Amino acid sequence: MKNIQNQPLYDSLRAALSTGPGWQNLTANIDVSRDKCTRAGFFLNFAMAPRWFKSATTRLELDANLDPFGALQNWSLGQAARLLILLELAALVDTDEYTAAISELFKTADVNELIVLVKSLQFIPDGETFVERAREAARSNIESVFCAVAHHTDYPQRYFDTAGWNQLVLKAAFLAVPIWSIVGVRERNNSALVAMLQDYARERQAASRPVPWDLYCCPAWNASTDVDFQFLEHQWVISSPKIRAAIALGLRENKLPKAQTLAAQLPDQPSNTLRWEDLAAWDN
Amino acid sequence: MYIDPHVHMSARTTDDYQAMAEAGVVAVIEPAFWLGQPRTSVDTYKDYLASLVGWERFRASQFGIKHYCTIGLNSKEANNEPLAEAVMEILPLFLAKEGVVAVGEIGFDEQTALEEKYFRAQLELAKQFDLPVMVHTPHRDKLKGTILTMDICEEHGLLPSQVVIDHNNENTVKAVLDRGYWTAFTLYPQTKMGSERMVNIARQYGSERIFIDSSADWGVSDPMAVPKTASLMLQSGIPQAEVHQICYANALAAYQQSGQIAAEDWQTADFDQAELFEGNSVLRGQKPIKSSEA
Repeated sequence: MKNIQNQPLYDSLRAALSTGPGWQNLTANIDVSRDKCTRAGFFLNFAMAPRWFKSATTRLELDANLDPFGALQNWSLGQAARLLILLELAALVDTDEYTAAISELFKTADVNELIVLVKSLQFIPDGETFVERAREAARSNIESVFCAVAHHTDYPQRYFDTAGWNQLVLKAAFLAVPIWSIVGVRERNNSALVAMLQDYARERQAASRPVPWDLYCCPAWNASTDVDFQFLEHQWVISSPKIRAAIALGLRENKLPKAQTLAAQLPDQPSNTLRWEDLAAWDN
Repeated sequence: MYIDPHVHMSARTTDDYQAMAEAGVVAVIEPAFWLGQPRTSVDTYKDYLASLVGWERFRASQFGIKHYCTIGLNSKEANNEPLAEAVMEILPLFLAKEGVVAVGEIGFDEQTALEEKYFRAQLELAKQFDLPVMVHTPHRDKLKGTILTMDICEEHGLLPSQVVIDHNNENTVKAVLDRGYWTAFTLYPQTKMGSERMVNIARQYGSERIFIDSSADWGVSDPMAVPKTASLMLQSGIPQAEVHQICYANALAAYQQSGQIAAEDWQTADFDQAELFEGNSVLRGQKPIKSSEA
């Protein structure tokens, strides 16, 4: 057996799981895999783990440094057991078998398995190998699967190319799930994405449909041309108080003098202490 | 409240889901079967099984119906040995998924040696995964095939209480009930059983271990068969408690042995049509319904 690559997380998961009702089943099956690791045995352990811990109501609690984006907050012990099984596999088989076995899990996953797999990508060895699986999750319209890749993880920020990143943010708008809290949304903002979001806003408005309030953070942070500022001014005029506040907040965070000027000129200024997370709690 | 414990929803439309939900169907069980023509590759089989635990489960939820499935190699495709071997290899990947309530539908079509080989192999899988078995009895030479099926189940050490024998009729019902098996009837508009015949069966045999299903699929069939037959039974004077057993409670008891289906699943069911699946909404411009509005 090779060394566990994410030892601190592995140890914390084991400590949390050892208090649960499925611990004996889990360790017995892990021992079998250590003795002779077969793909069928791995598939079975991954599938069955939540059933071993079914009666457990305990939620996983981890040190913040092990889970910097909060992906594992409120995880059940069954989900934690699945992550542990993935970390074990990496230490038991060679890289090719590890990649093939996890790819097969992705292909045949039910929805809850898929969510665990996608959320685990930031924690398991060679997570970047599965970037195409993550891209598939980012195309999903099952909101819970999409959010598994979009939120509480820096995986897309690190491994998605620009086209993939832009589609992720656009899809978040399409599903009306938070954009402002996507990790890397400021750092990876770009003109091509802004153009797509502007088009999307116009398209929604042409159909008399609502536009997500936090879609405006990207165009406001990125505004530099007259056309950019005209778009924001027009949207400010026709939109709800929440969207107006988002435009004002985004412009304040845009370093260009012209942006600062426009932000200061807008009537009905939101409070200077307003943050994106505060705005998220406003009624639409 | 009804359960349709054998219905091939993948072959049906959203209109059917809407009508079933309105008629009081709270849960459906979709057995894996063939496509009306034989598959030629294990990969298409894999995608099909994945859709039963994925897309179709989601699609049903959009109409407030809980969707469960059974996973297995059907008797017709068991006759393609290379395909059958490959399918047997992937079945363990699916048998422990959420919402899989049995190994099925398995059994005999022509009663060939290959059908028997794979039926036996899947009974062993059912034991390994601790799942009930849903048996498809043959349309031709039915009584002989049904008795052979039960003999083989017992040879493999399965208890009758772990096995549902489906597609029964007047000729098989006594043999199956006498041996202690769950005895299911499929109600078809033109073949298998009709609702009137089912009323007579209920009168004669009561409601113990008996339940009904529509087996609606891509052929002429009626996904409303369970609620319609329930109405006819009530009109014909069958007591409400017995109708409840035949159209809901017995199927639940049989498949509850899997640990994957429970009445709480739909008593607290929440659905929201605004959620989409794999880029496909089941809606085409209608206003989404939330369960709180339904």
